[in-house]
Amino acid sequence: MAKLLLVEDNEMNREMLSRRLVRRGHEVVIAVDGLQGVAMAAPQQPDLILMDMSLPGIDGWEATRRIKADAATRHIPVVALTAHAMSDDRAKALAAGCDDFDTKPVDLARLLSKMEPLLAARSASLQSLPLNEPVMPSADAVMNAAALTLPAVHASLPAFKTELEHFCMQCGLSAAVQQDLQVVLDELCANVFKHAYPPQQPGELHMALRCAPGAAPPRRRLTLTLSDHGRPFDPLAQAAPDVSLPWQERPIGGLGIHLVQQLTDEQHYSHTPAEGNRLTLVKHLA
Amino acid sequence: MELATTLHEHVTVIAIAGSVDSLTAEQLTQSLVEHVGQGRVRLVCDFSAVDYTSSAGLRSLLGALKESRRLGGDLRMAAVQPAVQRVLSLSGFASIIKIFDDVPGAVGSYAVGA
Repeated sequence: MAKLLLVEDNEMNREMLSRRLVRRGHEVVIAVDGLQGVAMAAPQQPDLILMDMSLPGIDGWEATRRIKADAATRHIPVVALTAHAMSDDRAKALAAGCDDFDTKPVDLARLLSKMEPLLAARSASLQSLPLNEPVMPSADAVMNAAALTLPAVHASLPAFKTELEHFCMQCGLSAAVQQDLQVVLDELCANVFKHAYPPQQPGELHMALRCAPGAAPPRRRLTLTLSDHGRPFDPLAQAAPDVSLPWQERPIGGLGIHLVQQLTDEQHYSHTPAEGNRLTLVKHLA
Repeated sequence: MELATTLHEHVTVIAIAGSVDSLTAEQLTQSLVEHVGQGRVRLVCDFSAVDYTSSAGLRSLLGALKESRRLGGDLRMAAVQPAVQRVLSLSGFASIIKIFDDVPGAVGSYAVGA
């Protein structure tokens, strides 16, 4: 469980490696070029930096030299990532101040084996406190309600979906509505809300579903409420991506909350110290 | 989710079976990255056996689409089921990715330079 700064300009590589590292329990912050990597190192104080060497602007060699020249960041280990396995690249990386070196395409097991001793040394030097014990999910006694722990959501998400299927059967909801709700839950639990919980600070997200007759049309309203007591986190505050952009300009992320908003008819968010975060989504049923 | 690859003369067909969601999308991403990395940039994703996809699956497809087009190829979809088509439409993907009724149509589209 470490905080990593990934400096990588290739969007696809960045996306894939960061998600694989997050899945291993690490928190990953991203810089998309060398200058941004240098700028982020001091305020972010990551436990380790993964530095692509072929970067626009200043390259990885220069970015590493600047990080190692700054008293505020020189203690942070840097692992160089390069597409070349040339021996002079290794020497060049070490000369620039990199603590280790690995080649791309990334072999995650090999990379982790190089990161581990550096992280252990860093941890020992910081005399870091033990991580908090993760909160285990607990069964909620209220029917049609469930809880799951974030960000370690993947293990419990299938059970969450099974709960949803039972609920849909009980309420006689159509397959189309069930599919929409499956997307909404997947996006909220495994994507949107996950961002509110770094690995070191797990939280518990509660879900409640209610299907009730409406006083006025629509005839039935399906209400999905997600609540937690984490830090204030308004998923609706994120600007929706412009889905009319041509493919070259389309961002790879940001679609999750967009889909949630498209697949539900009402969205409300509130936060109070007493109640914590509360996201209420309403779907109108025929 | 299961993946099966078929290599045609100039086109690589990846048949996907199951759900492409936050649990499984990384496997698809890895496969697509490998194909593109090995120069197989004319791709067809056979979605006939995909019952569900979330934004995680869309991220995989968009990343590979961008990279393959950048290298002169493309990523095209075939036999998309209604539930997946709905997600593609809501996300604006239907306007940026070429979708064909079946795999032969998608494979053949490369031959005519479509």
